[in-house]
Amino acid sequence: MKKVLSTTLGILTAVGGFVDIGDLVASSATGARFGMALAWAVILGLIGIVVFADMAGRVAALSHRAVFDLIRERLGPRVGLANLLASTFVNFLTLMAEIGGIALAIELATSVNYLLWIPLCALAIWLIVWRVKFETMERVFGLAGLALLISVLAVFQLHPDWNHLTSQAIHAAKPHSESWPSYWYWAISLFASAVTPYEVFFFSSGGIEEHWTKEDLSEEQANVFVGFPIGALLALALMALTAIVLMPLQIQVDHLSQVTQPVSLALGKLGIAALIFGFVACTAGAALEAAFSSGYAVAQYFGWPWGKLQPPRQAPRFHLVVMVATFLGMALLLTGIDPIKVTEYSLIFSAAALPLTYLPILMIASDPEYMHEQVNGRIRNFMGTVFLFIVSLAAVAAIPLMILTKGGA
Amino acid sequence: MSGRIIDAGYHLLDRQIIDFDSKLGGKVDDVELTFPQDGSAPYISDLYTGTGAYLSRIAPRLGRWLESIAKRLLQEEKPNVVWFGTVQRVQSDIEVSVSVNDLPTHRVEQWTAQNIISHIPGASSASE
Repeated sequence: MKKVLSTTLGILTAVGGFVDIGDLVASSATGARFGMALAWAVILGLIGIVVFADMAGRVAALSHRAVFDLIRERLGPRVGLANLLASTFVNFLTLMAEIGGIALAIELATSVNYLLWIPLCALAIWLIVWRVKFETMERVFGLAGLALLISVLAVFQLHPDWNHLTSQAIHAAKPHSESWPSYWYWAISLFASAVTPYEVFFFSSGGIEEHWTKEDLSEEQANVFVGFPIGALLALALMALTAIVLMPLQIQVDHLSQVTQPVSLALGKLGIAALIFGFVACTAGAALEAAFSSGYAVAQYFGWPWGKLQPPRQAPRFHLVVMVATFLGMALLLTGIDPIKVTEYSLIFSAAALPLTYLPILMIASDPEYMHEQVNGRIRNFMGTVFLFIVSLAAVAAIPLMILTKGGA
Repeated sequence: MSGRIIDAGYHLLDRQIIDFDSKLGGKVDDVELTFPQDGSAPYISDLYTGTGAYLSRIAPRLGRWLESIAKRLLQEEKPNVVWFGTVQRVQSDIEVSVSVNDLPTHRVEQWTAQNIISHIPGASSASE
């Protein structure tokens, strides 16, 4: 049982990070518009995040040093600062999107306008960061997020034409109704919803808080190789659901309630209840990750004390950053800005900023001074370099495509 | 110290400072060399850490201004300094023999703790 529970960091990271509000939006929107044609972007994202998180986890276990600590050390104060600003901006957008996502999910269950839930959600997120033990948090949210597995069950319950779905996925062809720029825009969104920097900050900083050492590398790997594939499975299931039900009717997803319709068709009320419970758990998990990551990045860059192992009074500036980010996000959401739009923008900016955190991790993972005999081997370096290329390509294309397609319209 | 060459730019600058208790105490933001009067080889006398020293590197004018304010407020000649003699170990982080509470960066940390964080319930106890 201990082994099972010890993978919850990975499950929380993945269920929260892979399947967050960004993925709920990107997967179901693309499912409805492109069918399974963009499934390859989810798979590519899965491989990307496994490569990236595995390197970051190994760096954490062997050097006991956090990501931003090392980014500053290797890139110097100026480039490091540019990096910090970009990452903090993306962390903050993500945090906002996730808080909005929790509120939207609760609106689905209660029919009470999401704006009323936002202050409560922000307060809950902050209180958990402030008071709840790291392990308790990762177990509760990681396991609760697994309620989303109901979407996999729903896919089977709908008895889809499997040949049709697989052929869509394999041919990866653009539907006639869609343009090439929006095809690539959504491919990058899907990729970015899987490979998000905040997941990596959270995962590696969490590893340091759990005192990973060289002996824990197998646990680190179990976390990566169990957690993220579950996340990808959930993302593909959500995509399949809208591909099966909404695409033939030419209904586009622009509200979270449309994501629940296929599940209600397949499994009725109980299905919806489980799905909404899963939505709340995974968006809350992601909000926590993003809140922590904002604090991690700033505190680690400046060398301040951070984390949950000591009482807040011992890491005051870390907690101050988390607090300010959470409540500033709340205030901006209360202006009535659309959380779904914030989510879409957060994905694109996240893609654009990705190489900034990816490159230093790759550099350190292949540096024997930090990694000793566990330095990146030939396979890891090959995969690392291939993905550096992919990540950079996505980063360069992200913002021009956003402008060209007017946000994927 | 013998047998190991330390590159000040690479092994000292921007490294994490930790105390004997492994508590985090800011980054090495600058390094001071002293040239002895008798003409012997220069040596590293001090490490600098904290906002003023940090800003001096990326925005020199702003950094100097902040440093001069800190000097006047704290009535200290070198408010940001960690004497190099306290350095115990130079690895991927720099271990010093004093407590973080006595390091310059800790002033702002303590100020934040006392004036903001400790007013919120639950600030002093560990998580449950």
